[in-house]
Amino acid sequence: MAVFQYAAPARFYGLAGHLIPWFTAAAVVLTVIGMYLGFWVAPIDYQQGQAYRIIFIHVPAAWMGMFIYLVMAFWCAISLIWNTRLSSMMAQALAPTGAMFTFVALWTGAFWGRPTWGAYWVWDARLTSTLVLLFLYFGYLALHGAISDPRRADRASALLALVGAINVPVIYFSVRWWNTLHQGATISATAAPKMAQLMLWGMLAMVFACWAYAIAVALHRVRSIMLEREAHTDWVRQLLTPVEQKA
Amino acid sequence: MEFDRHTFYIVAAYGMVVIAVLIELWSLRQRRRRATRQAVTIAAVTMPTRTAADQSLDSTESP
Repeated sequence: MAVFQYAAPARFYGLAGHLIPWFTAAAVVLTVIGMYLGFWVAPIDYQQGQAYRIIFIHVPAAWMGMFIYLVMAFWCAISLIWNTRLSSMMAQALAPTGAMFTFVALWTGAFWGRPTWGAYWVWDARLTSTLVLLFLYFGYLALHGAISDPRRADRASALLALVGAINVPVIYFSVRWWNTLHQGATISATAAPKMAQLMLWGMLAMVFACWAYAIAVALHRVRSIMLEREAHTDWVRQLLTPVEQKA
Repeated sequence: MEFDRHTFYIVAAYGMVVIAVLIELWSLRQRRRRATRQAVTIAAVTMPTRTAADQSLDSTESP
């Protein structure tokens, strides 16, 4: 299939370069739409007042934190099974963005919890398992950084990522399995959303904005990783020839 | 949107999001610069170069 030709870093580098501006533009436009709907169009919540507006970043960030981890674990599995270079580079490129989204979910959750629960932090199952997710991201990044040989670093950190993937369903189902202070799912695939349409549209715009941002940033980072790892190859040398001439 | 007693929490939450995004974009830029510099250095070192003997041959070459 023609898609597989992009598994070669030399080809994917160019493709990523073409995609980055589109995803960046989508992220900016969707953020503007989401923020406009969330702050100026969506009505005030009758119980929580204005504080509920943190939902427009908290929920997308929490979803992205979990989803990026699963995507990272997927690439790690591909890397372990087929020993492909690009998949381990993709996993490495996704980890910092996933950690950032998980941190944002915890931070915004704390500032939403204080006015609604009366506490910034409780050792609730959902919050604790999300904190474990953040530590898994940190562990992945630390382990990868600690091993100087990239291939060995890929294998060791891929194992950690795969073992840690079990935490994602624990986070998702924690509100069902345990009696938690954190509320249950507001949106599910099988039931009607439990929120006003305008709030939902604002939140979905922000979800897609976060997706576009994560893809743009991961593609940008994977290009840097390719340059770092493939610096000795002919395609990078050819790519950098104009730069050398300028220098 | 109207301000109420919860405005501080909203500003603190979204403010950190902006800071986190800026840090990530800055680190991306730094990494890109470092990777390019390193790759240029390696390319320059490994680039096939003409030896001094080749150059001396050029200068003494008869028409």
